Amino acid sequence: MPSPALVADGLVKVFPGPQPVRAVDGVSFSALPGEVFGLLGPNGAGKTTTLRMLVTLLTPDAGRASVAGHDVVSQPDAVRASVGYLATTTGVYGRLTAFEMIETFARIQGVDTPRKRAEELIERFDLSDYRDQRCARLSTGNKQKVSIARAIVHDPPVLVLDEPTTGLDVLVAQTFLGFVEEMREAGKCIIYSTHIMSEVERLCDRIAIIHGGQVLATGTLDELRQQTGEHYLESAFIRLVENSGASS
Amino acid sequence: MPRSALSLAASYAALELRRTLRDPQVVVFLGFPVVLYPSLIWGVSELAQLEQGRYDRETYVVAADAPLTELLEGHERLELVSRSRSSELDEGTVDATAHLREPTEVQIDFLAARPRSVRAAELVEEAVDVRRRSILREHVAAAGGDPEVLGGFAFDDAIVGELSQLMSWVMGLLIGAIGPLAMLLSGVYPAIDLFVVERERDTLETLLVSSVPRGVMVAGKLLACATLMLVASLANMGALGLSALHVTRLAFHESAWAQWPPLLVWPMLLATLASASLLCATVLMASLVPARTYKEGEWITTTVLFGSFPLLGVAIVGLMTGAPSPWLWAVPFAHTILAVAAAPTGELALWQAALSVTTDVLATSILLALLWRSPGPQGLLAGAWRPPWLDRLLGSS
Repeated sequence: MPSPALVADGLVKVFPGPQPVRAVDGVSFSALPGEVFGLLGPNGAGKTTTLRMLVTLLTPDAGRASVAGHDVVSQPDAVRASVGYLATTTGVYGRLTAFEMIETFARIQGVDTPRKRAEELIERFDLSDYRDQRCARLSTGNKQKVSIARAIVHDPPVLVLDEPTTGLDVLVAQTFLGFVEEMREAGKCIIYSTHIMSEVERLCDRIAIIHGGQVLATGTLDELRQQTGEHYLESAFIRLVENSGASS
Repeated sequence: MPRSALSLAASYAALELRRTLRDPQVVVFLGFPVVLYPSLIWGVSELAQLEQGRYDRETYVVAADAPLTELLEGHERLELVSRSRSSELDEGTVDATAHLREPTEVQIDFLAARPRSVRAAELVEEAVDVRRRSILREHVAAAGGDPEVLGGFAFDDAIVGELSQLMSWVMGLLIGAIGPLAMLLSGVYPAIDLFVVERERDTLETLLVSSVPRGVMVAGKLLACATLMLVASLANMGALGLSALHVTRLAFHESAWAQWPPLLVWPMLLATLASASLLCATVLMASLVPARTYKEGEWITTTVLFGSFPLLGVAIVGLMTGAPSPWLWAVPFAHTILAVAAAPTGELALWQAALSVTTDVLATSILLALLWRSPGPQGLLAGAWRPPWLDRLLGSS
């Protein structure tokens, strides 16, 4: 069995303030290369905070995590070089063209032939017609394509996708899901955060259901069905959340 | 910093420059002075010439005493009326009044705030003088003397010393007072865009997850901001210098030309401006750490701008004394003004430039070292915690 490409072990994050918020409370899971690992949970469950710790945007208050064998706290630069992150928003520079955006990130990520790589990705994501258009003028779908191209420009072994289909129309979302499947085939480890059940059912090899900053259950779709006695993922999810509310 | 990090910072700065220079607001900030100063100066000088031409053609109404009326009679541009009331001048019915107090003393009343009135008084003065000389000549000739003895001396105004040096001095004063201030002003918007707007929009996360080290990103942004400030100050000073040259040529001599500073002055001036740009960019970056929105950034940088005025005052005092004391060359910002003012005449000494650069680099290094400890490169990019009183002051809570 291959060693995990990503490991989260007891991650804790508390946001200080007059009433401190324990956004993530002991989250643990691991994901293998060539696996799509789903983080499923409602808004405010702690998914994004967990992902932000994994990509070094936030420092965990407790616990540890590693990406491609690099510790997120002690080796943040190595972690960033190994991960492609797609945030909930597209995060493109409006004043750069689609090509410039991808080429620039190829350059700063240390890709040997940045222009060639950018051309490849423009072709791959069917952006040739919008190559020289400024990102501010692109449609949401095309912005998301640019953003994905930017995230994978350095060919990272781990992809962290945070609610990537939010705001996309059905057709673009389908294309995107196809891309995720392709990445899995290429052996990438993909952490896929969402609250859309159908996407999880289609894509994820294993799932962690997260609520109130805690992982309620982890396993394959079948394992979750068996654990909850529910056939549909949505019902299983609701059962787990209700049980956690009853137990707390 | 190792070489690879430096080249990475330079590449990153190039990206930021490319992005920032596509912002119309930045372009306006950079291009505005290039258009503003020459057009302003051209417009004012044209207007002045136009007004002068108009005054030279117009006729002025002067209320004068009977003896003076005799003297001034026949002057083509003076319409003489008899002096009746003292309020005529205030009412605007006459442009000036003239009254013979003694055989050789004429009192001319005019309104200093009204250009027509000033011009009328000048004409009366000239006309009385010309007429008096003419009468005297007639008397001397009638007595059998030579009227030429009354011709007086012929004066030819000559400025002692090189005219070009004087012009350079005037240029230095103008660009010294405006150039460094323009540097700070021009850096405000790029600094807000590079540091605060990045936090406001959703690109910061994208950036922070890239494998570029945080310190390199800060260095790149700082370099981009300092470069824009340097370019802006050079553009301002170039445009203002040429405009000042035009003004001084109008004032002194149309064929005159300011002196060209010695070659050594140029690198010294450039080094002084570059180090000042770096310090100003660092100060702006530090001041923008607590800002979360563009509006807050504007608020903070406005305060910083006003904060720089005392240093500007120090420099102006130094300039006015003619020989600024040596310690002024160790005062950041003030010494930049002094250096820019001294450059056109070639009076910028090597020790002065060296002291300016050294103090700026030292101040930048100390500030960066403090900022690297807290809030650190991450805090400089993403913003940092701020006390509740600042929240209230910025109207965010």
